[in-house]
Amino acid sequence: MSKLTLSRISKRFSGRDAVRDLSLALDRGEFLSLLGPSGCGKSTTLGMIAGFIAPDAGDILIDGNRINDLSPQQRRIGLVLQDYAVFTSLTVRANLSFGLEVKGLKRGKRRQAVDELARQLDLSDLLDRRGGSLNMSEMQRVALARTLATEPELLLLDEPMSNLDAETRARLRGELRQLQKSLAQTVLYVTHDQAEALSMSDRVAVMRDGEIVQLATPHDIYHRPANRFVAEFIGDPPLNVIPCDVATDAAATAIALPGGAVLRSSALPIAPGRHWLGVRPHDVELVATASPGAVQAPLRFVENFGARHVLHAEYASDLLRIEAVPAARSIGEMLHLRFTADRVLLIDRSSERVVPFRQLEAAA
Amino acid sequence: MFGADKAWVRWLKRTTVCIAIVIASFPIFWLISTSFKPVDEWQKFPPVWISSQPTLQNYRIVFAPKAAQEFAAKQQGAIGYKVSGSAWKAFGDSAIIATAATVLSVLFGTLAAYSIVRFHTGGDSYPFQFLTVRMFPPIAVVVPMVVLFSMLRLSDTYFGLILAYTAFTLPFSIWMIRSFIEEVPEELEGAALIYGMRPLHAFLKVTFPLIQGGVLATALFVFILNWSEFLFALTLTTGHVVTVTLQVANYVSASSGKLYGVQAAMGTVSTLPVIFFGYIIQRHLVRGLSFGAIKR
Amino acid sequence: MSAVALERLRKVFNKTTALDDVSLAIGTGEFLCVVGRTNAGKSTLLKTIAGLYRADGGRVIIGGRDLTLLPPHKRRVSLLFQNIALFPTMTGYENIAFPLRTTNVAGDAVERRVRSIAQMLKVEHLLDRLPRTFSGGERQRVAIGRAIIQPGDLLMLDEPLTNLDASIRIRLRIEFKKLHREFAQTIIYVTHDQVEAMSLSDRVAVLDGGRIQQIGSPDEVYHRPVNRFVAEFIGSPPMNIIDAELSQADGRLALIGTGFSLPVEESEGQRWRQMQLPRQLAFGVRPERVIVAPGPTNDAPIGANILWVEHLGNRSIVALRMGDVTLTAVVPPNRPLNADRRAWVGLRPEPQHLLSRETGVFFPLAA
Repeated sequence: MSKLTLSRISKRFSGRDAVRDLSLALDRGEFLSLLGPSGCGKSTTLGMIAGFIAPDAGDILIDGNRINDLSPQQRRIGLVLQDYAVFTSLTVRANLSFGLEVKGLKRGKRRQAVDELARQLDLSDLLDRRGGSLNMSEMQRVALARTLATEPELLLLDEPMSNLDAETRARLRGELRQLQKSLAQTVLYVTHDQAEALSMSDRVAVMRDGEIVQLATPHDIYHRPANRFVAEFIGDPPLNVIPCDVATDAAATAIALPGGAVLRSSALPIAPGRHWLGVRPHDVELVATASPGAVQAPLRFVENFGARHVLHAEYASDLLRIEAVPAARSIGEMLHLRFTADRVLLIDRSSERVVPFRQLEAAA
Repeated sequence: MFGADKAWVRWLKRTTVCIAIVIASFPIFWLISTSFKPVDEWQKFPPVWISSQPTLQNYRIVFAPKAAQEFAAKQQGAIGYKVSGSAWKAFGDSAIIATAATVLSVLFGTLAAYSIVRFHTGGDSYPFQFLTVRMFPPIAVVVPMVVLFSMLRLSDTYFGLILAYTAFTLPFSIWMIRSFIEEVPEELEGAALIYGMRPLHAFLKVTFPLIQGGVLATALFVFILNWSEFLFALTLTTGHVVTVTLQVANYVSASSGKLYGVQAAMGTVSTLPVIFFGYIIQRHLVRGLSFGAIKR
Repeated sequence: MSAVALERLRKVFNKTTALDDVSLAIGTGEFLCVVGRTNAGKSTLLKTIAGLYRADGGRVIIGGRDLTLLPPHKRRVSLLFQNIALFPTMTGYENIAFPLRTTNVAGDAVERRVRSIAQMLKVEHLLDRLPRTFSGGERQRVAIGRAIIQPGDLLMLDEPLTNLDASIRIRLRIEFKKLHREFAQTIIYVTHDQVEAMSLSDRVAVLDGGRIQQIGSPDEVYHRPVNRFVAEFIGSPPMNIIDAELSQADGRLALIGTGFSLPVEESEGQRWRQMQLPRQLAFGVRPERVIVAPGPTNDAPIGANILWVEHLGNRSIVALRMGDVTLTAVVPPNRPLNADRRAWVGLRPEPQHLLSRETGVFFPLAA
């Protein structure tokens, strides 16, 4: 039985559907991310699970029990919000014991539990510091520890890393994941950052306009996105979307790209005409000279990240992003590019869905 | 939030609110009611809630003393009296003084508040310091004020009273307007400055439009304070300047003692300008009242 | 003559020194990024250059003019604030046109300029509306329009992308590069995200504690960091800094630590000796230079435990425990690496990445 089940919940705010007919099942010990742009309904969904927002329809179940009518305090759900809400005038120790005091644990037991938790989250040195004197990452750990102290059924995290420096964020990602695994804590994590979702989760639910557009493992979300939105939202640098002409008959499908390259496959369920081809910057190969199957594009911009370069070349009236090894290149230089056939994504223009194929070959 | 209130809790809440409303509005009700009572009902016990013989005599005394006198002569039981000063003059004097003092208080208050918020004039404890000035019970400073005023030949002058009122409401103005200015992010003015505007211009065109609701709300409160002020009016004037509050106190006669009904009539009428003022700025008032309360 | 020169700029608030002896020179048309952690002094720097703060020491010279004592409205610089600061009572049009109010530009010329900028930034539909109806990205673009309509001597941008969603951030980044290409303005761009700084700048200035740690091209700050802070701040994941001891056994140099021993190549040995290194030091290795293999090989002889793996699609980040050191490595995607398994790593310490444990400064190479 799932730890958390959302069954067709929806919520409307002043004439707008914030969450639409959403269903989700979270397993015990699973780390699931709700990923999506601002306004997609992820925080509203979290609010409904926590009990601060009442759904207009649908059921929320924990371990099979319907909790719609329970108040937040009764739900035994832990919550860490964007601003942590660490009690600044109390010591770290007092912060951590807070939830336990509310539960009525005796002093001796409380002390034990706090010490153990502090050890696990590397807070033992900070126990006597005042909440207000901590830096952001310390505060995050205290907020986490405080919630974990009450051994919640489920831990909800609402964009907890948005307020952190990019540097701290990267560091804390791994730590948080390790902690979650060692405690076997069930976690629902809300974020707009695809790197966070991909790196930490067991599964990712990509949301848009109040609905879950795809629910899958990070690997599948990245390699087998369901539609254009997911494909473009996931991945850094973002997916290139190239217009292409598809000709298809009973036996085969040919995809013609601007600049002359053609990809062939066995017959695919797609109507002939204009469609899109999605290519990840990582899957664009730089070849030395013009060769069959390659296209040409002049280099316009270079982003130098030290260990790798991202090149922006003009192609099909837009800029194509290419991940490349660092090398000396000049602006305006003509690049010869080949797309790794097996890894491109064929996107149907009308449905915006990704059409899966078995094998794609570059035609000579 | 979770589940509706139980029935008895609801009943308790409603009853409490009703009681509060009654207590708050009773004085106003009594005032208006008394203003229509004939003299024998002013101090009757058990009290007369609503007069059975309502009369306009009190109002006549306030607005048209001559006509009132004639009426009294013709009626039996109507009071004979001699009152100093005219209500019309009192309204006029109060209008001049209260308005001028309000304008000055808000004007200087805004400038001072801006300086304190943006330039930290006077240091961090300055706002608290001038607030403590306001904490003085005015009665404690009345005697020195009288002496000072007579030394400066300000006794019984319009200017003198305006000055006194401005001085005493200034801390309040500064305190209130300060919180409105704090709501306006510094970067807005910064942007105006960087993009070429001179500082004063930036204040007028960018900052002021955002605080004007709050400034109007402050002006209304200050006006109320000035309009209803009695102690300084009493001690710093000797008859030439008469405010509404003084005039009310003047309605006393040797034979009938305090003319409660007349006082009530005057009182009722003198609330009207304040209500009027509040009405014309009400659009800005709500925004102004809540604006300062929201802490950024 | 540089377009912008800061000479020993100082700014003190109460008891904290926000800017401590900051000096830098920027060429005309150069795109300089100032990176640092929150509260490193980046916003203070911009506001001091703009004149919103009076400097407590040093000079600000822009376009050959000493601006140190001039009030902001005379300085001819543009600043795009972190919280955007669009004038709420003015329409999009009036906001963008604002800098031209105090100039002598004729009415219809103003209109033409505003419309062409609005078109370029795709905000024409916002010209008649008030800022409170704009989305985050739209407000950003209108604010950019306001900042560039009257090209001054310097354009400064204070964390313009920080408050936006990650996905929008990535896409808008390139727009700044395009803007710079188009307008060739001298730009100072401030951010706490070193990825942005690396992507956009001609040069990067790393700021910490009010002091400039290093200024250089992206390649310079990445491959030749001057101290530990820069090495760990630039690059994601940050450079691994590992304590070790320099040992000389049988005439061969090696770096020894708990759980590892890294011999120095014979050919390199001479260079190392010339550097006169102390026994106790530290060395840095960029994550992408850490070799990770499922079994021991010549290139990856050191045993380690995998702590966690992040699969990001186009690459994977692996955290390993080697002895008592935690290492981060970046490897090509889809490698079969799992947490709590054993793996073998290889490191090759380079002479330009040796640093002092006490000062955190990298040892300069021998001449």
